[in-house]
Amino acid sequence: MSNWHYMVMIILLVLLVWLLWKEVRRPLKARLPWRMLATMLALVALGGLTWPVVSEQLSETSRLQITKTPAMPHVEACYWPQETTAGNTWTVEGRFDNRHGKPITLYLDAFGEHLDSLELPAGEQRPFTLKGVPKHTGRAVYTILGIAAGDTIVQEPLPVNIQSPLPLTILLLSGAPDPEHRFLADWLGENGYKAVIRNKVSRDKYAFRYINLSPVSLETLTGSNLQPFDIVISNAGACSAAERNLLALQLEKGKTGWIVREDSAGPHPRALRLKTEQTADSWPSLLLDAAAALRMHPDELPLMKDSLGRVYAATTLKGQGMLLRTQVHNTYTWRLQGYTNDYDKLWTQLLQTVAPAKTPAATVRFLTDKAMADHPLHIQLLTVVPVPQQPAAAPSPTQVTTTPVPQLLLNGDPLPLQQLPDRPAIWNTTCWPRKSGWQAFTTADGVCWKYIFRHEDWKSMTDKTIPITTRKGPPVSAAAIPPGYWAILLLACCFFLWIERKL
Amino acid sequence: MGKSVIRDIRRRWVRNSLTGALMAGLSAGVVAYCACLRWQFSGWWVVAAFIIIFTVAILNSRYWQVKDDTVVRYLDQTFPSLEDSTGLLLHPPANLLETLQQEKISAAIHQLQYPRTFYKSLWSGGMWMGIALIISLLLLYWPVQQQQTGNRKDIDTTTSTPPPGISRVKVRITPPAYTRRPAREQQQLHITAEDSSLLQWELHTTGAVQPPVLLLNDSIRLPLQQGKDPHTFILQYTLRRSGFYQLLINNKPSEYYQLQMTPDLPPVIRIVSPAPYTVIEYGQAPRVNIKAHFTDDYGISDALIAATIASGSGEAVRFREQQLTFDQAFHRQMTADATKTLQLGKLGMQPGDELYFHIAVTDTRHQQTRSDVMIISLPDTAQLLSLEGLANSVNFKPEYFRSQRQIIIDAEQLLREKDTLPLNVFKNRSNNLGIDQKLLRLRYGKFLGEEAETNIGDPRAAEAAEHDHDHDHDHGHEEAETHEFGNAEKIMDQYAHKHDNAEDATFLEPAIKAQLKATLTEMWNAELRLRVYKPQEALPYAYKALRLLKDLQQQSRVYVAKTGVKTTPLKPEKRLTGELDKIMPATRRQQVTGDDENLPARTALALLSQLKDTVPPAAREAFAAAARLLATHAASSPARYLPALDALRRIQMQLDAKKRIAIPDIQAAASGLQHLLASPRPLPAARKALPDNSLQQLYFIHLQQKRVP
Repeated sequence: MSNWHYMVMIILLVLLVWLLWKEVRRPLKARLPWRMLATMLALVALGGLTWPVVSEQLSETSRLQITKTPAMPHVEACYWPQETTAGNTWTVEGRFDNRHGKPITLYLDAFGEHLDSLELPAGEQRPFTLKGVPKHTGRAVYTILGIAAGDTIVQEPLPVNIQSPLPLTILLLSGAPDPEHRFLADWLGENGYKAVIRNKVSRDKYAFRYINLSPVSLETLTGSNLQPFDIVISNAGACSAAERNLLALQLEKGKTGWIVREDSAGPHPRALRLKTEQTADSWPSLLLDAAAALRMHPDELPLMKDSLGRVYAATTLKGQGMLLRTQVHNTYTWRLQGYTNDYDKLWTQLLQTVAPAKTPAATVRFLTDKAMADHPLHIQLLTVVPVPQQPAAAPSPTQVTTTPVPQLLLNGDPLPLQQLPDRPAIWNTTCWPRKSGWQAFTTADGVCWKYIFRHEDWKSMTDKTIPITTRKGPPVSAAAIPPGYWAILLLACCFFLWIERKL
Repeated sequence: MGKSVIRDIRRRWVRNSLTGALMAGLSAGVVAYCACLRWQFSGWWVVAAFIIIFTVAILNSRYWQVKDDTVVRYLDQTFPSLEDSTGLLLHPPANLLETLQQEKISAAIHQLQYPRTFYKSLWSGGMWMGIALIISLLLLYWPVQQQQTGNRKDIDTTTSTPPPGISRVKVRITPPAYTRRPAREQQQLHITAEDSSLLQWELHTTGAVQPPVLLLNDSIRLPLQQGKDPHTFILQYTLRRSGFYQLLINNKPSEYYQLQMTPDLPPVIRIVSPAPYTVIEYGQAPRVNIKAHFTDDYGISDALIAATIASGSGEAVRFREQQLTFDQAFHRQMTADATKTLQLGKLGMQPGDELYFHIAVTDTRHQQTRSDVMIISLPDTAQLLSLEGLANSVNFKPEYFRSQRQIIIDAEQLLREKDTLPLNVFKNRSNNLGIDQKLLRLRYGKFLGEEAETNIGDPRAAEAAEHDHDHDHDHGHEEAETHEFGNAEKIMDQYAHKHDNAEDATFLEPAIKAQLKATLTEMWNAELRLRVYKPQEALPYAYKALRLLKDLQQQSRVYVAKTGVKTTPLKPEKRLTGELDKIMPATRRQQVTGDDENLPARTALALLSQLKDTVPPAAREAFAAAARLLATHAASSPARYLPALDALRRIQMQLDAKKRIAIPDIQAAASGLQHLLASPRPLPAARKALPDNSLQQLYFIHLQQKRVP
């Protein structure tokens, strides 16, 4: 029952009282009860005629929604990484359906500050991308806001967990004193990384610089003294043939990444602007010799090119490791020119490309996209299983049974785990989180956080088929008697009253 | 019969007024409905508006007072044709006269043309409907103002609650005298005042308390002095920088209050003329007009020109400094235009001297601003006229033209003789000089590839002239020509007009070409003045052209001598064979703490957002670090960061007291921190692999074994 229904009722009642009063006040009192009955019936018929009209008007929108998708502007799909490293650009992407709304502005809101915004025109369904660099470290919930003509139409949470970067240890080998290495080592030290520069000064003589590391002997590289290093950067003539073989072996095993800086900058350097292939980043100009650009091997993937498509940095997958050959020199001049942000970005990109992945003791993988309170959450726990050095012809039955059951705790309570029969490292479980918000899943590797959504979050994405306003709308039941009958009754009553007056 | 006619009219009258009332009610309803749509009111307001306006309109119309008598009176007054006897229709006729009159009138009453006033209520109802329509359209389609949705709140400086225990607060702000602003008093504890204002707090306490203390920027304690009665405390403080403060009453800190300083900015100078580097050519009036515009926020007290004259050259250069005042006086006005005309001759400037000057403006706070240095140069023309540079050149071709120097000398000679010459001779000579100038210009124009209308300076033209003179003697030449007979190209050369001759457009550097072009422009100008018999005006251009030409000459003389390098030859067999046992290269060890100093604040930001649900264990330390960071920034810009600091302090207190934390506090603190922190820099990080890589590793081992059989 809406306001309009009440209004129809009141108008009819007022009309009834007035008409009855008129009938009673008529000097001729003949057939008074019949007249009053006819008046009442006429008004009932009028009510019967108008009632469905009002109901129909109200339920029109909800009926439309049953046949179509919801008419309200809403986010149709949305994806964002729930975990990222500090300093990285965080991107929220999705599609917005604004076919039946006003022009809307989407905001990416962090602690009351708009990180990004986007205007979406009315009558369209289009993808959107919002970007920002989160400033916090740890867990927080950002918001996506959709505002049209002052009204907040969309407001959904975007949980994100920002982690501090995992540290790297880097070994820089130079055949001759190299300003590039020197500036790179300074930069690494400033940012708390561990690094060593080995500088060849004469035959078998090296100068060392240890940054945030205690001195270890690195005159000749061996498998053991290379152990702590994640990445090796070497330039021309920096290491002997034996050392190169050792590095290639380490690279194949996936223990270290290797950046090979090819021979000097060439005799005719000129200012060139490079572009990164994947991210379409464009950098300030560098003094490079176009003649010294890399000759590509068939298994290499270009990373940085100039405007003519000559390649200056390329990657190859060698075994389990990544080799990066680069002809990008003189980047230290950016630091001197004040392009520190570009310097940070370039070396972050190069180092991250070759950095070997670190294997944690256990990883939790959530199989349910939108985890909700009081809903099942499917989880996979991945653990480390020792690899047999020799591929066994047939696994012995004892080997499988000896795998110890790992632990997975939700807020301190252990969860029952089921091992996959054919994959001994994978364990499955399902839990029912009771509360919304951040929940801690503790494994042997540490705590892993998962955001549990409330029921009302992201309704538009999950309940696509359920119309939004049918919950409010009244059931359409007044149409049980066809309006034609009401009209006949009304006409009959009016006819009687008219004839009665004429008699 | 007649009575029914009157009744009809009455009914129409009543119907009109009721319809008018209904229209007014409906228009109110429509407006209310549109307002409902716009501001989402309840639908009952529509009904209420309709009923109220309808009732008012009905009451206003008083239709129940319209009786037959009223209608009769109206008809009698309005229509003369009814002869004032409509009333007769209401009653049966008493006599024959009345019967006759009744018949007459009932005939007339049917043909009445009712005036507009009869439909007045309908008209007004229609008018209301129109107005309602316009208002509804406006309500529906007037753009809704975009509301600010961010949580960023500007600080409301108008309201501040005094701390408990204080009944009344009075803050007296006395701006420094030079600002010429009156002292003012306020009841608020948030203070915005001019630089160096004297602030006086007067606190009235409710009961006996210890003397309150004002804690400035969380560091300086300023105790308040007792005033005239034991409940009044006074403190005076001169505002030097922005910050924030708290009041400690019985050692209980109040909330934070802003102390915002409006700085007095130094004056701003804008020089309209002259240009930063001005050259006054010989012949131009040695005069410089200085025009400048000054602005300051409280007033300009003084402005002067500091001029330095440099004369002489080389080691014998001398400097002379002079201070000059503007023509205007300054009476502490906020904006001022100043002018000054420098007579360079009176300043003792000779050709070759340069004048450097800057303008210094002092404001009422004795803050001085200095402008950039402007240079005015009087070039020395004497050197240009010396033959020194040309004396050692040899092999001059017989010239058709005078040099630029010659043109200047001749022009000056002409000016000297002007009084003694007849006018037509003067004009003729001036014109001839103009022609000379033209020839010179054409000659130099050739270097730029310009084409001349005559072949002046062309060797072929010279050759032809020579040929005419030597016709009889030079037979060998003729023989040679006969050989050339039938050479089509040679004949073509004589008559054709050649374009794209590489020799015409010389291979000059762009800079030299530009200067050459500038020279030609000056020559054009000089020629123009000479041709219109104004050699005096031509002189500055001629001098400038000469100076530019000299510069060109000097430039072309710069060269770098080639020198050979001889090094001792290397012996490759001896390289890298030295004894290096005792050489120990340097080993450096460095320990750099490269942590982001804002990391605790970044963590605090994340923890703040979790406070709504739980209290994280590390919250206290992180919040303390964040509060320190906020406090340092709040001291410099309290308007931006003080509310965040205040909110964070409240959160800390509530954490200590284990009370519920208010959501607005969390929002304010987080917003301040978010605004304060810079985005973290991108840094390389190790990736995390999935632990279950046994399959990949097995695959890899298999591959290795296949590759190395």
